[in-house]
Amino acid sequence: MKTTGVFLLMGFLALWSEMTNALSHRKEDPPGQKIKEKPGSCPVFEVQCRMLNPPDKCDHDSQCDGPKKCCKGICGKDCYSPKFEKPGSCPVFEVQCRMLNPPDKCDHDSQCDGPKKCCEGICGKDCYSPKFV
Amino acid sequence: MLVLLVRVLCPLILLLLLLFADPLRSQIIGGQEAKPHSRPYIAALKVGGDYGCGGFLVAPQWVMTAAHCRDDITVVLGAHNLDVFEESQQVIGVQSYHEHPEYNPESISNDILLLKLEFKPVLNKYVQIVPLPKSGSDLPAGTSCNIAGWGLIDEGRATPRLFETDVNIYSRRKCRMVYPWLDDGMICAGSRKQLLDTSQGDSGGPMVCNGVVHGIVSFGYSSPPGVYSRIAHFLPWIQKVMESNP
Repeated sequence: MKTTGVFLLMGFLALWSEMTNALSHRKEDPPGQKIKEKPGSCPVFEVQCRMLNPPDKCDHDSQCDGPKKCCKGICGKDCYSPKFEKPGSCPVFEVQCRMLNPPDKCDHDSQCDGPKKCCEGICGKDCYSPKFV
Repeated sequence: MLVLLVRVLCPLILLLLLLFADPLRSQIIGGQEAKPHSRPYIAALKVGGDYGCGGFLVAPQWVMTAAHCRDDITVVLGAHNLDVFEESQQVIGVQSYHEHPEYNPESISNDILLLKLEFKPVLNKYVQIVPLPKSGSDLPAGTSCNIAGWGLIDEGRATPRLFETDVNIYSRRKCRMVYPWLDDGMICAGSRKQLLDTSQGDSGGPMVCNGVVHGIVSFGYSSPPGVYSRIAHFLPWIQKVMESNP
């Protein structure tokens, strides 16, 4: 009677370790697809769609074509073009135009020619030559 | 036994996660439980197996929802409490998906999807069609509208019962200051002064003004106003889809 109990317990433990192994294995990435982060940073989205637990279209960068990165988007994770910051810092403008919500001429550095950076200007964001201190 | 444990534990952990989710993640805030079956046009959508979006019946065999809800959808009509068996419920699969061809997932513009049901539901006091707008004109700011859904309620709690609240249309000019990319296919509702809004899980649901459905719950920040797809803007496309798929 006692031995049956011990065997049952052992059997259960074996099953447990087998199952936990199987479960943890499933979560691992397929071999050769080590999580490698692509250069650049993800765009940031503050608004969210109003779906409950929106499905992710990707899990990590390697699932995205070309330079695209897997980022948290408006409605679950998806592949987005990365943002790159160019070297140098933005010039600082003390004066501000008196327009309400002046339009931005750029959103990030990659939209500016050559070494120019997208900076907060006198009247909205625009492309400016960087400063090097 | 283990499988049972996993089956029991996983939903429990999920429930705990939901309970302790960030309370600022918007809710059908300030709303109340709807009188059962007082919104007979509303549909609960199972998206990939779980309830995740709302929708509404707009024609005998057509349900409208948001394009970002597109996945493997099952439509449940005539529901109030999703946790219990209700004789009023009619569960119908989707025969074909008709997403707006210009739906843009990066800006959530043209966020509209039509579902042709596998068969026509039986229309009764629990299941009814909601009328679409007659013209493409914009609703004046201040118009009172009703929003309803099974999305998260106060403090990020999920609800199995339908909740609703009333919101006013927010001026397009003022809303552009909150959402600069707002286009003619979108409309804002809710006030920055009153915490009344839709939330995660309400997507695709109806915004009904004077008995006519004018908006589809789409996206927003964690506080009002929220953005809705403006149905009146899509009338020609809606008509085309329904006529070419009789």
